[in-house]
Amino acid sequence: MNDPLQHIFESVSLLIPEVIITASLIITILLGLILKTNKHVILKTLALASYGLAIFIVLHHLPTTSTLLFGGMIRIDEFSSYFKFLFLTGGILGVWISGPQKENSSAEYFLLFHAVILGSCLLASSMNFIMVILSLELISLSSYLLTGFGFNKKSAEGSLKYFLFGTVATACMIYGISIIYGIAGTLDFSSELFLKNLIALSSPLLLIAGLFTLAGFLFKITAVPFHLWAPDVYESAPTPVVAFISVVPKLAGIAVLTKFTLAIHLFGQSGYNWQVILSVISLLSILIGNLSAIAQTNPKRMLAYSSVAQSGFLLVGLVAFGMDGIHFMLFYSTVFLVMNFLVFNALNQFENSYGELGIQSLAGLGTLSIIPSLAILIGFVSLTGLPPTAGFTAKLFIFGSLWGAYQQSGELILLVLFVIGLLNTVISLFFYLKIPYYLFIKEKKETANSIKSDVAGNLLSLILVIVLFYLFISPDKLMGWINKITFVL
Amino acid sequence: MTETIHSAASLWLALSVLTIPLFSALVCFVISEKFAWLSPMVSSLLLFITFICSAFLFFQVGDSHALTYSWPWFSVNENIIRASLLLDKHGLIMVMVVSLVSFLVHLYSIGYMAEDQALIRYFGMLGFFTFAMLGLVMSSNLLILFCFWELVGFSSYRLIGHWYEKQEAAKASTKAFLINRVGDLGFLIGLMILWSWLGNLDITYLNLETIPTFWLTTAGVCIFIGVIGKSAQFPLFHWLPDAMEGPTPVSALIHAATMVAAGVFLLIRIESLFTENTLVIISVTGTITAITGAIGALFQYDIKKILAYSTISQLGFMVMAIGAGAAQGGFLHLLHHAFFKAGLFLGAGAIIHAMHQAYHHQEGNVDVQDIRNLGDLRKKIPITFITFMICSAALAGLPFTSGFVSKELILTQMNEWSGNAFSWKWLVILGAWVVTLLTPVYTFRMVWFIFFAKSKHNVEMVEVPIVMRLSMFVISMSSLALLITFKPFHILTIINVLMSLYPNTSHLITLLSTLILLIALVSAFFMYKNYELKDQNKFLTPNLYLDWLSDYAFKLVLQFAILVHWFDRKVIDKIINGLTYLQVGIAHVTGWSDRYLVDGVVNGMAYSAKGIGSVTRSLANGKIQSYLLWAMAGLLIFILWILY
Repeated sequence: MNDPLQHIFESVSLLIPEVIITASLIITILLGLILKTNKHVILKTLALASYGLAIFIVLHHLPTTSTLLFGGMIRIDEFSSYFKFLFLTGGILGVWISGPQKENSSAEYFLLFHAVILGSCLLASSMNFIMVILSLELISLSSYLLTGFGFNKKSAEGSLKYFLFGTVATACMIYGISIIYGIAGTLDFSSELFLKNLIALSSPLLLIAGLFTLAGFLFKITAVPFHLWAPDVYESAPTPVVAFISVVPKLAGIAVLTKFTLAIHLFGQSGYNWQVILSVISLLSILIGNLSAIAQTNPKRMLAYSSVAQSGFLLVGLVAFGMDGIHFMLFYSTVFLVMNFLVFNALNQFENSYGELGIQSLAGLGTLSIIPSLAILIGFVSLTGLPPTAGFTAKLFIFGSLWGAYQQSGELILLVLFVIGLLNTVISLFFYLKIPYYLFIKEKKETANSIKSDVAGNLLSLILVIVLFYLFISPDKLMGWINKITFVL
Repeated sequence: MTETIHSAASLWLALSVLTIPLFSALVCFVISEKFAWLSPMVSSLLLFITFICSAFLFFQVGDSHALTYSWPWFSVNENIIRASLLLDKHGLIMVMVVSLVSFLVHLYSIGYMAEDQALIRYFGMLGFFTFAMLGLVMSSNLLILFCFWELVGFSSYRLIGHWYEKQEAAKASTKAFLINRVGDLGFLIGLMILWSWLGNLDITYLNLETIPTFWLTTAGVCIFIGVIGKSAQFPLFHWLPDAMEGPTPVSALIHAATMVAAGVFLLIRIESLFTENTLVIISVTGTITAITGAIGALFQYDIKKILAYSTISQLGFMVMAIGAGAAQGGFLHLLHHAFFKAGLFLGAGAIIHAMHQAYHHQEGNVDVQDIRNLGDLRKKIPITFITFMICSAALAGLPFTSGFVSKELILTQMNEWSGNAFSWKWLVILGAWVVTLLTPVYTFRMVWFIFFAKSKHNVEMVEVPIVMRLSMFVISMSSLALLITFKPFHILTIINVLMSLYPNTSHLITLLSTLILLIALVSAFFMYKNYELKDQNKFLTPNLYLDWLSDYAFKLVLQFAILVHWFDRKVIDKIINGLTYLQVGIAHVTGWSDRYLVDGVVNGMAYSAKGIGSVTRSLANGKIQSYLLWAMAGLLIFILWILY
């Protein structure tokens, strides 16, 4: 601390993955300006290479102890490292399925990918409200732009809606944070001062501030009531972007939400029961997400609502308020990443061949394009939470931890959440299996062309399917890794 | 140490004796049609091996002591049922006899059944029968013995009905099976009584002192009813003459030598179980059977039926002996009878076979089993004649034959049993003497008309195949007393053991019986010398009215069955139909409720889900202003809900 510059250098040396992404970001800008041809291929390769390198470094330098960097702004620990691993994997998958862009926008496209990932990495490890706001905004602004990459009226409209909604949410969050800052006198939500002051003042103001702050995070994870942007944006944005923003920013939001709720929960000494609040949010997300998804005719709109419901399921792990719950939430996040990308990848393949699709227009395509159809079937089975896929295992774990939490606390709302959550697995069958139903059972109307063979996409589907099955058969490997993660605020 | 090895070797020998015939049966059942011709050879060879093993087993155990092996089988209320083998003197001799006769019958069948269409089935069942019979002899637990007892009955049923295309054969097999079931019911009840009192059915551990005499008697009588069925005793014997519809080697093996003897063997095994009253019943039943069988044999024309009645008579004789305290003699007679009666049947089979071959080339249909159609065969088939004569001599009880020895023993022991004072026992003894008088008579009649009397038909005849002659020769040789009682061979254990069964017989009895034999033979000679066999005597119908009786009984049962059927149809079926209608009605109701209530609820849920969904969905109407309104409203609702 005596030598701030020295400290900053030391801090940077521990942030190599972020540094790599940043470097890649800068190189992308430069290459975008220099290169005239083959921009897309080169930048895609660069992105994949830098993410791969970053993943390698994250895995190679798994921290065993938590280290505070930049004067308490950022903390490197196992929890954030695992999330970084997920973000980078999501980045690789998102870049993988990204088709060629227009020559003059290619660099910006990848640049924004880099920025989202950088923001997510920082958000997952941030320990200070300032850092939270900065990285969250980095993600948000980049996402707004990415959703507009359809370069049509619809896409632009979606992007604008996303932006407006996001701005309000961020405004709410900053407002809430400012109140909290006023109460606690510190922005470092892991510090003892923060804890002490919040415990000392247990007023409704704290609740209002907390809920306003939550708004920003709920917006990121598309949880009720800040989910309304999702269907419009998902529908209008390019599919690879949707796949990406439905996973990476959401998981980043989950990461910071975990930290924030644990902080505001004040180790159970808070005057308000945040467990109940989160339960209700989770419950509503599951319920509204699933019920709204039933009658959708656009696959991406349907997946938007499905994404809302999945956020609810992710929150279930958090609701348990225990180390086990967080572990199972991490497992669920991993599986969610895999199955979501599996579905979006297949959908992307269909769109590349047939253009914009309604669910009805998928009728009878199952036999023509067997690999994407099977991939989409397996992905939906997993999203529903049926064996033999990892989706089942993840739901089993997460509801197991919820049951444990219910038995410990006896809160009625947890039981309600448990029952509603399981019931919704049945409801979700209705819409998840709708697309496979149209693909395989319905007769096709007219002679449709066979799908364009897409080796990379098929390969990705295969890998993801294998991962889904593998995690179903032996989740113990991954759980063994996750279980080593100790998370202390 | 030596003892255990010795025992282990015995155990393995015993197990192989038991399993090789079963293996033979399996081989026959799995062999393909193409190689069906191999099955006679293979199973004969396997049975020979069985015989060798049993001989080894016999020499190994010898007359030293009974060996038992037991394994826990299952337990009922802490009573452990043990599967056990009992290898004692009687059992081992019986094992040897069974395996030897079975082997010889197998060998004989190669020739006799050569043209049969179902060789595989025949030899398979023969092997299976041998397995079951050996199991019956060796098992020490009465329950397991009963299992084998049933298996024996089953294979007998299959073998009697081997030519099931023939209606008589099919009927006879059914009859044998059903009548045996009547006996087995008694057996089973006896076993249940024993079980309820003892909780243990192992022959070697029967603790009879705990049973009241009444129940012991009842159990003994019930088990004896089983014996009556299996060993064709009065009044359940009329299945045996009918069973002659089966192939002749089968008659030799099952219905003369082994299976029918199983009842007698069982009596010897569980001799300790019988109270005095039971023994009275046994001896009286035996006497009646022996006399009726002998009388029946006197008036038969079918060569196999004569032998069948003779078998009934002889079995009755043995049962009588056991009931009259001559168990040792009875057992000896059982062994001897096994050989000479099997020999007689094989000889009869050879005659039938040869005659059949002879008539095969001629027109017309002649019943070759009818002794009225036979005659003057002694020169045509000399070897069959000699072997048949030896066996007949043994049956008649001529000196120097095995039959003589055992008959003497029985008569002597019975004499000792009866005592000097006059009692009902004298009647039994009188019966025994009557049988010894009648037996030579009918034997003479049979032999005379087959081999000596003038033949009505003159046909060219050829001796039967060598395998048949060989087995007949071996079996008739073992009926000669010389081979069994000749002292110089007593270094062999087998002789020793057998010798121990021969106590000194009374000279008086020997004299008397020889005298009776002479009288019988002479009178028979003069009776039948110029006698023309006419149609059968109306009074002495073949089955001695028992068929009529059983038909009557069957009719009664049938009437009862019709009544039961009526009751079943009119009452029980009505009730069941009513229940069915009720069930269908309930099914309709549940179906309705399923369709309208359960499905309705599900559909209702689906509709309401859709309805709620349309509300929640309607929030996303595309206007960002309303989105923000709803989001903020939601946030406020949250705050208000938590605060109040």
